[in-house]
Order: sequence, then structure tokens, then C-alpha cells
Amino acid sequence: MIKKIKVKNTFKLNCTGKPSTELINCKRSKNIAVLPSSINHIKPKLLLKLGDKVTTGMPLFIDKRDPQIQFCSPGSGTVSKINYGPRRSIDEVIITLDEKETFVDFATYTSEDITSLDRKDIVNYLANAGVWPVLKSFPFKAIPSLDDIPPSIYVSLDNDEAFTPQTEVLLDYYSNELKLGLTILKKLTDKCFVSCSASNKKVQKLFSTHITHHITGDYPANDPGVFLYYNKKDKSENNSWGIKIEDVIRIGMLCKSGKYPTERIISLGGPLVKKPIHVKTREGAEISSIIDGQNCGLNSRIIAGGLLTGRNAGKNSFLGYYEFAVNVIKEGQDLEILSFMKMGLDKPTVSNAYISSLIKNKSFEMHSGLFGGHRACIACNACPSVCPVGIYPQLLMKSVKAGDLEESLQHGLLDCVECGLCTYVCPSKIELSDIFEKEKKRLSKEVLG
Amino acid sequence: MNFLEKFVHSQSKLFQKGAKLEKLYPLFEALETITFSSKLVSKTKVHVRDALDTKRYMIMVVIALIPCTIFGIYNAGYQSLLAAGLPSNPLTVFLTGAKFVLPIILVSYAVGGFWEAFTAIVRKHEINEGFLVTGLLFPLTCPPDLPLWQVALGITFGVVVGKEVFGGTGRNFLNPALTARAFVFFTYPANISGEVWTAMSVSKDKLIDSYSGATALSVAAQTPIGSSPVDSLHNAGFTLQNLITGFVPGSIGETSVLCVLLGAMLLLVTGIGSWRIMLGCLIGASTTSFLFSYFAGPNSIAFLSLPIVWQLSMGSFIFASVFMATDPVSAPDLNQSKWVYGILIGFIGMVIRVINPAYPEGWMLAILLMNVFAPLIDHYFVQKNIKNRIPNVI
Repeated sequence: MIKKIKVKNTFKLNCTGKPSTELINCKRSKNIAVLPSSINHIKPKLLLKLGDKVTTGMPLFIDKRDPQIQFCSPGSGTVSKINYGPRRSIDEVIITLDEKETFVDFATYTSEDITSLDRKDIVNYLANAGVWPVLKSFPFKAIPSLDDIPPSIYVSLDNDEAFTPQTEVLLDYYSNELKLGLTILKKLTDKCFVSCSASNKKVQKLFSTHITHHITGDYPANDPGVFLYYNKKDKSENNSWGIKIEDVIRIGMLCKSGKYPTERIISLGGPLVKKPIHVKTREGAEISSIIDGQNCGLNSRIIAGGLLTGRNAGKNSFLGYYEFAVNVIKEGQDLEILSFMKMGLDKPTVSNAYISSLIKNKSFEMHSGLFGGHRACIACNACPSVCPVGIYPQLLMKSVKAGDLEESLQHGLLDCVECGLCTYVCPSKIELSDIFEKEKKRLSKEVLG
Repeated sequence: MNFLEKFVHSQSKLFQKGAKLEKLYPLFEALETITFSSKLVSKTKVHVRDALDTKRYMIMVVIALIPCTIFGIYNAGYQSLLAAGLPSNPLTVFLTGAKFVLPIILVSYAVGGFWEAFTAIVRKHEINEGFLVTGLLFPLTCPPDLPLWQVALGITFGVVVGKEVFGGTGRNFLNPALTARAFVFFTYPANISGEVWTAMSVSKDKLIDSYSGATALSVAAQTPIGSSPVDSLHNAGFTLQNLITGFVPGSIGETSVLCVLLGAMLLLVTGIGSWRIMLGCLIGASTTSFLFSYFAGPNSIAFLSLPIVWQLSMGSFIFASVFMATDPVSAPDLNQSKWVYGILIGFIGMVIRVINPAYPEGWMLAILLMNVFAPLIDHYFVQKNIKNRIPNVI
């Protein structure tokens, strides 16, 4: 019996440069890198030094707080450079790739094999191969410890953020891996909830035996955190795990090939990309090789991830462990005179204050300009109208800034999925999502250690 | 445009940190961002933003107020020339009105703007745009012949005590324009109530014989028991038509129901004025008015039996509920609270107007009172919503 969930207050970001469903191969990278400091809630400790040789699948760094959680090398070659950030944080470990790739061998499993495996064996299998960190436990989206047994796992088979890989493309190449991944997940918990978008007929047909929920709504309806919020019946489910389709595929790739999954299909989009498309590349690939030939121009912001949650990477960066998209937008707004008095046919707004709102589904060339200065909250009430989990962001922001932890938790701080919509609509340009994220990080340090 | 850009850029060096005019940076920033679009970019993970900013938000309200302002200028001149029995061709009327009204608006913007800029310079933050609205709202609630020094004092009190003392735009709990008006009302009552609603173009002895300084409200309130207030209004020259079009004495911006409704349409279409508050006020006021006329007997005061349509078209009800009550900062945050807020304003304002003999009009007091209660209404509904959430605590 498929259950239907209708998510409230979702929003469709109408940006130009939506990736087509074609797939091209990425230009080969000379170097790849891992980005330990970009992984939240861990204290990375490098297991190798400059000049060491690595094979794909070899443990590269571990979490000092829980050494069983390890990250493996996504390529084989030599550790050629280590870039440190503030306070000796390890920002980049760059590996110059060998001509021929060598692999650490792990076991391979079919669907039948998996059903006869012990839960403990599966956990160790995933952990040894560096694939365990694809799992995220709520509310802090931290990597669960190996002994954790979650009340449920929430799987999302659709991506709705602008712009992230479309399931239609992933299903063409990774259907079998996805099935294997789902079988593994069902061994890790009693309750595995699998959702897809109500409008995605292809995945509904191919995975009818696995899917449990159909979700209606734009961004961020298909986020596992939102799925959890709408499905939970009581507070015991608050520390369930969540995982997205591209990460389930990674688990399946490991089972199918017995090797660390390096290959990934990402989306390349945004107004400054000449030909927005899906790209077959690898974890840790050079961003410059992904955007090669796209004529992005000098005044561009290259984002690794979605437009509302991604990292400002720049063309010299690399694709991170959790990053499945590259989007390129213009840096800043073109200079205009008296811009606030204009009719604004080209200005995206969720209010009706510019006449662009008269045209339904108009696409805009979005850029990173703020459109205004930072001001105090004027209680315009735009942010609650886009919060899918029923939070009043302006009230939550005020209680967080006042340091009232109890009130913040009552307002639903831990339900926030950090979708960024409240920050997107705020006319006072308050960094709401950032404020909530920082407060949750501070809380997680107290709780998780 | 290139020349303008280069000029502004060359001047910006004077205002940077360490330069000569560093302290006056808020002034420079205000002029720069009024002329040019903002150069700021997102520094966090939310890389794209909505195009609506506070400048656009406030300008929309100012544009919504323009019909009332222009009509107010015209009406001030019209009432004045009518009382003096002087000829009234449109140009003379307009110029006469401008002579009274424009100085009030200019003083309000200049003095209030001074305090905004001063606070911004002292506190080292940018000048906030909320003042663009307050600076125009306050004059529209004044009689056209209010002494300019009282305008200056009033707007000072409103901006400084009503807003800046609490931290500036977004941090006040009272409507600043109403605070300004309340200050003038209680401190200099002679100039803001009574027979002040028609500006005098000539000295009192040269007025036409049939002139009386009474407003529709005072006529209705003074109707003897047993008579119909509609008849008294008709006798005094007030018809439903001129009350709705607005060619009656009153404060500068409040008389014309039509102009206010034009402004209300803009605010509602752009989503900037809360329809819940406006509708709530309408529901509260009409219900109270209906209950008054229903329970009015032959021995109750005649004002009680005034029909609803008259009651809502007179005085400043429509202006207050569209422009004053909807101030987002002093109104409650939650949508449910806005209904309660609006309905209570409608009820309390009507009670003060009709039953309370001390005050001819009730909206300023009703709105200020409900401003004080807004956090309480919010608190009640927030607690109710919290009880419906599944707790997620550590």
C-alpha cells in the first residue's frame, strides 16, 4: 500500500540552465583530491603522508572521535600535496593519479547473498570500504557510529534542488546498483521507508516493489529530513537515518564490483554553463575538468552542490565526498540605476512586488547578488510561508540569537533541514539558514562530543 | 551612467575606514544604494536570493500612499477656499493646499531623517528605509494647519522614542507614526483636535456665514437623542458620497476612502500589506457598529444608530486599518494572531469613537493598545502550535 505525502510550503526555484538528460564523459583529471575538513562532525586524522603511494579503496583518513569510521582513497597514485586551512584543518589532500588504476579488493554480493548476511557483517563491510559515511543520522546529519541501530531509515529516490542529478538519468545506468543498495539498507533496520516524487513515473515503475511513499511538492519535498518530518508518528523516530539516491547507488556499486565506488554521474547546470548537461565523472575530480569547454567566464561563482545548499568551490577545487552537482552562476548583480524603482521583469521574487510575478514559471538568470543590504527583521512573514517543516524562522532566529536553547528547541530547531528557502526569501537578507546551522553545530558538539 | 559610476566610486574613497569622512559612511552608503543596485554578494551556502529587499518593500508603501497625499493636498486647499468663500479653480486649490501641506511633509522628512542619520552614524550602521514610510504617514494624520514646530517635535518623539531607543527599524513594538501623533495629541491637544481641520486661508472674521469647523464625527456625536444622525449629517452638508470621495474636512490623508482603497489594492496585490489585518479590522468595526445600532433604543445616544456604511466611511477608520494597523513590525507575527489583532482593533476603535465622550476618534489609541498586546497574542498561538509539534529535543 503506497502512502501519499503532500508537503506544504515548497518552492520551485526557476533558474535558467537546467541540465538536459544527456550524459557526457568528463575530461580526465590529472589530480584528484579528498576534502577532509568539508565533512561535518568529524575530526579527521590522516593515515598517510606526503609522497605515500595509495590504491583506490585504501584507508586515507579516519575520524579521531570514532576511529572505526574511515574514509578511503578515491583514486590510485601518489599523495602530492596537502593544503591546510585555519587552525591546521586539513582542507585538501591532493593525489596525482597513476596511468593505470589499482584497487583494494572487497567482497562482491548479489541480492540473494545479502539476504543471508548478518547485520554486523554488512556494517563492517561498508565501514572497511569507506562507504559507511554515506549514511546520515538525524537530527544533526552526523555519521552514525557502527553500533547504532536506527529506528528507521528514510530513503529518497528523487532530487528536487536546483540543480542536482535527475533520477531518470541515474536509472538508465545504475538501476541494478540501486536495487543492491536498497537491499543492503533493508538489512540495517526494521523500517526502511523509500520515497519518490509522485510525478516520477519511471522510477515508480522500475522500483514498485521497493517504494513505500509518493511525495508531492517542489523543493525540498524529497529531502529525507522533510520525509522524516511528515512521516514520524512520535519522537522515537527523531534519530532515524537518511540517505539520498546517489549514495544508495554507491553502496550498490561496492556490492556489485567489490571495489571502492569512484565513478559518479553529476549534474552540471546554471545560467553561465553553455551546455547544461549530466556528466560522468569521479569522486574528487578537478572542478576545472568538469566545467572544461563550458565558457563560464571570469566573473563567475562555481558552486559544488545545489544553488541553495552548495559550497562556493571555485575552479581550482575538487568534487567532495557528498557533492553530486556543479552549478555556475554570475558573481554579483550588473550595476543598475534606481534598481528598486524598476518594474522588474527580470527580477525573481516570491512576493508580487515586481511584475515578473505576473508571468507564471518564468525562468531567471540567477546570480549571487543579494539585491539589498543587511537589515533587521521587519516581520514581513515571508519565511514561514516557505518552511516545509512548519517552523517560524523569524521567531526561531530571535530565540537562537537570544541564546534561549529551550525555546529554540520547542520552535523546532532540530527539525530544520537547512533547505535555505527562508534565507532565499528574506528581504532583510538575514542569513537564517546559516544561523540555524551554526547553532546546530554548536549543539552537536555538546551532544556528540 | 559610466560617468555617474566613476564619480560615486571616486567619492567612496573619502568614506572608507581611515579616511577623512569615515564617520559619515552611513550617509554615503544611503545615497549610493539609492542610486545604484547593491554590490553585496552572498557569503553563505544560499547562493541565490529573492529580488525583494527592504528598499522595494518600503517604496511600495510610499507609492500606495501617493493617492492620499495628492488628494490631501488638493482637499486642504479646497476646504480652505470653501470656508473663505474664495473662487476655487483647480490650480488655485492645489497651490493653496500645497502651501499648507508640503511644509509639513518636508519638515517631517527632514527632522525625522536627521534623527535616523544621526543614530546611524553614532551606531555605525546603515540608514534603514523604514523611515521613508513613517516620514510620510505621520504628516497624513496631522491637520493641515498644524504648527511646523509641533510637526518637528512630534516626528522627533516618534522616531527617537518610538523606534531608535529600542534599536531602530524592526525592533520597535509601537507604530512610530502613531507614537508621533499620540505625542502631539496629548501634549498640544488644542492644535490637533477641535476646530482645526480646515486650514485658514483668511482670518476668522472673513469666513463665509455658513462655515462651521465641525467634522462629520462631531456632527454625528452631537446629534440630539431621538433624532437620526444621518439627518444631522445631511443638514451639516455631509453626504455618503462626499465622505467616500473625501471632500470633507479632516486630517490631510485620511478623508478619502477611494484613495485609501487604491493604496490598499497596491498593498494587497504586492503582498506587502496583510489582508488578514485589514479584513479583521473591517469585521471588528462593522460587527461593533451593527451591534450598536441593533441594541440602540429610543433613549440611547443617537450616534449608536448610525448605519454601518456611514460609520466606516467617516473619520480615519479606513486609513488607519490599511496603513497604520498593517505595520509589520508592530503587528503580531503569526497569521492567526493577525485576525485577533485586527478584530480587536476594529472593536476597540469603534467603542472609543462612539461611546467614549473624551475622544472624537479611536483608531490611534486602539492600534497603540493592540501593539502592546501583539506579543501576548503571538505567545498564545505559538504555544498552541508548539503543542501540536512532535517534540524534537536533545
